[in-house]
Amino acid sequence: MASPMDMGQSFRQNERLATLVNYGVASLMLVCVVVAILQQAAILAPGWNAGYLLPFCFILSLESMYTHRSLDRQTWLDPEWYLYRGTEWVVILVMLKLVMYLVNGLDGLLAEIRLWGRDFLNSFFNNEFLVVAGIAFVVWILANFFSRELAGLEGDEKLLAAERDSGVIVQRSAIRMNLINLIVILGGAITFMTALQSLVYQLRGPEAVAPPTSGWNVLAYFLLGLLLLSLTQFSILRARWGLASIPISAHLGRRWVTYSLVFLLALSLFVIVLPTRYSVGLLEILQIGLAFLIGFVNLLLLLFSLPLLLLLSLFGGLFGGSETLENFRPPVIPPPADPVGGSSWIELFKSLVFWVALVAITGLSFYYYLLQNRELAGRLRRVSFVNALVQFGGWLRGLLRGWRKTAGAALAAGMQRLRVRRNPEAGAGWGFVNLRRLSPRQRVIFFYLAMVRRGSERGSPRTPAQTPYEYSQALQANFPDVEEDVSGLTEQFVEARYSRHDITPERVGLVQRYWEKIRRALRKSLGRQGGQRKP
Amino acid sequence: MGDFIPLFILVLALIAILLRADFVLTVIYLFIAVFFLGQWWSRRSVSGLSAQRVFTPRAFLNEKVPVSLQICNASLLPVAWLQVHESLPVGLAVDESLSQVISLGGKGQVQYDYVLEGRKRGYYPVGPLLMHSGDLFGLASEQEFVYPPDHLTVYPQIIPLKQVKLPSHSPLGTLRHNQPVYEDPSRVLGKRDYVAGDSLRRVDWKSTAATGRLQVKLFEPSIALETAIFLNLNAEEYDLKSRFDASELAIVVAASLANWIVGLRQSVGLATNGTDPLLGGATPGAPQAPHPIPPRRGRGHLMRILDILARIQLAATFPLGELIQRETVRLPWGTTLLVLSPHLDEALFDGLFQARRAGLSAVLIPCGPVANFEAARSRAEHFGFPLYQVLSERDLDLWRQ
Repeated sequence: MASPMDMGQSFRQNERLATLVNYGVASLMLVCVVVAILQQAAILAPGWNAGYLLPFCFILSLESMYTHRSLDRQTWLDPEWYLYRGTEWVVILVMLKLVMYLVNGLDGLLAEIRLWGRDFLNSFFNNEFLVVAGIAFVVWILANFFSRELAGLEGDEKLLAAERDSGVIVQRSAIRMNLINLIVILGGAITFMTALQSLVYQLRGPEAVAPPTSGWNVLAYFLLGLLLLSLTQFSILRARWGLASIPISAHLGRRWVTYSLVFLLALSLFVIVLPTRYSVGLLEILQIGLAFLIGFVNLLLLLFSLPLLLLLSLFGGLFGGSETLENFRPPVIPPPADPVGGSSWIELFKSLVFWVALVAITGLSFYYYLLQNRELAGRLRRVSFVNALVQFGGWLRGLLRGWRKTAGAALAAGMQRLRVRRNPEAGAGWGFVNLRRLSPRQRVIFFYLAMVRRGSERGSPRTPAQTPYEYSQALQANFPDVEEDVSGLTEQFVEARYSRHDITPERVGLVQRYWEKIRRALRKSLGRQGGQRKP
Repeated sequence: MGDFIPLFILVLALIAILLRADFVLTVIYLFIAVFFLGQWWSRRSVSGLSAQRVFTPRAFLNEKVPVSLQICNASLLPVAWLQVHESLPVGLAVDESLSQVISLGGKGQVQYDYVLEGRKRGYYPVGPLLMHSGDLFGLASEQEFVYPPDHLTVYPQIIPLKQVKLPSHSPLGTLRHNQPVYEDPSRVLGKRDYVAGDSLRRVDWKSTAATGRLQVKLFEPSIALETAIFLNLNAEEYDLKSRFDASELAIVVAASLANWIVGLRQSVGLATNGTDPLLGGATPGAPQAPHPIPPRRGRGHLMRILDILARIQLAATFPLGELIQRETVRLPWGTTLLVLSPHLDEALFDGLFQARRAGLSAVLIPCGPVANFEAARSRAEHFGFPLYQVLSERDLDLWRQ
């Protein structure tokens, strides 16, 4: 078990990692917000290139969160706060201007410097700069909000010890809820903005081209938001464990981040391929499904009645009938409706997935709504139609459960049979044995066991209570031609199995000769019919 | 915490419908997948958890018992976080408690090794092992998994004894004795000349042929020491102040005597009116007295007695006299009763007297302070029952010489 020093180190390690990742993720989320803002700006100023804002805002948000932590004890009531923030914004504006010059070219810088002497404010704070500075300010404010909530979720050892000693525990769940609200509100806003932008491009007509990032930034934002949700859950649990003085494994934080990332990325890849529109309507899908089912049932009936039909056609031919089976056509499964471009089956499948997802979402929404309002659900059940539906649902669930159990049992039995075939038990099936790899003693034993096995297959099984000599007598009685060989092989086996005498290769050769003769005799016995076999 | 997701999905759906934005459906799919698959992952990974605790279930006093606890994840899905806590009893000294939060990969396992020290006799539960786990997002309620406890029996202290003078009337044993009435024909001591009246069966013909005079064999007297220990653990018969110490001392004396007797390869049994927590009584959950163990030989039998002495507890049950009256009828003739009781009353002496009349002998070994000890001693002398009071372990030195 970990010592107190290891515990503390592990706790700090996890805390540091979580803090770094939290701030990185939050900054990336703000970058997605900036993408949405720039997309809106592109509607108003199509030629404007402000891609440089993305990395700048990422760094800016990190800086904002860092300074928020540094100014932890100061508020806007302190004069130092104004000094700090004022100098901070001077630096931010100057850096922003420099970045703009770097992107637009240093010629612009030289041209502007000439104008500063005449009208500094208008030339420095031009329209583009004001817009960009405004966006930077929004990002800066939002980063502060994130930092405030994330800082509230943190809990280093000293803080937790203070909470424990004072009995005043920080309500981290409430802080997390605030963070979720912030994520949701921002997410809703950028979703709305991006959707609005898509609508604008749709209204402009087919010649208008939507920007390539349309929608992707929203997905990335929510992906990162879910990651942050996971990390804040880790923060809450970490604080809970810290307060209870429960040591945490040093790798827990790293694994948490890894599992969350892998899980979310895998899900994202999956949901990206899911259809978001349909080309075949719901009723059409149901119609196709029903037609498919009818066609399948017809086919099954035909297969069962085919022998009878064949017989009837023969009789018909005998009595001069003209109809034959050649004129018969089996039922055909109707093809799907003609889609709007693309392979018909793929479109049908995509539409099917879409409708299933939609119906599932709707159904689950109703289910959860009723779960939250049990009284309403109780009242609804008193309605006979609803009650009948519920009972039908229960019956269907039971039926499906039964099918699943049967299928599972059949599958398990099949797998077991396969396993037995691959790994047979001794006597049930013999795999390939390389005789050269066996020692002389093992070879003698092998030949004896081969004799027992073949003898069992030929009607002279060895009972468990029989000694080798007793079995030898029984076998000799049934196969008198090879009496001496059976006796000799048994003797050699007893010596090899139960003594420590050396078994020479010559003796193995002798045993092998015995075995060859016995095998030939046993093979001949296959042709024998009747006769009594003594046990 | 998971309640916000359905509401948020509803809002997104509204945006998708009103603004005809297809990409919003992708976001909805993502949230639904996270919501359901996250919970499924948590439930599934916990169902694959198993644990195994390996240790020797019996130990002597102050012996260190290493315990190995292995937690395995049989599922392919990793367990994101797992809080484990092994409950350990106070009576077993442990270096540090086992409580940690870990992460288990798919098909992963973790092993914890710790040492228990039995500082006090008893029957201790090692565990249960409590495990908590949950999903990554806090959307589902946490799962709990409990691995039931195993038990460790710590035997009472055993003081090695050398010489305990216990009377016995069981002939034909393996222990030497003075009384010639217990002559053992299998143990020839020597020979002497024949005297009229000697049985012809005792004539040693070989010596007779060698010497030319009739010689008869002399046999060594021997006894068997069949013993039954009657241990009084009726709380009402103990003095309130010394109840705990006296009862524990009685258990130590009982264990030491049983060990000594088995060491002599003699038989010993045990009957007690204490309660065994492993046995349920008429009232659910109420323990009852263990069944008396008849006298037997062997280390295995000694272990059985020590098991009971490890678990037995003081309780308000029934007087020892009742137990003696009930059990002495089952004991063979010549058995010696070792009565460990702090309360020597009329009923007890009556029971012992009846036992003597049935051919049994008794020795009184009161452990701890005895009320009216002088009266009890004189009564014991009157009946002829040896009495050895043991006030502390040092009094056992008498039998260690």
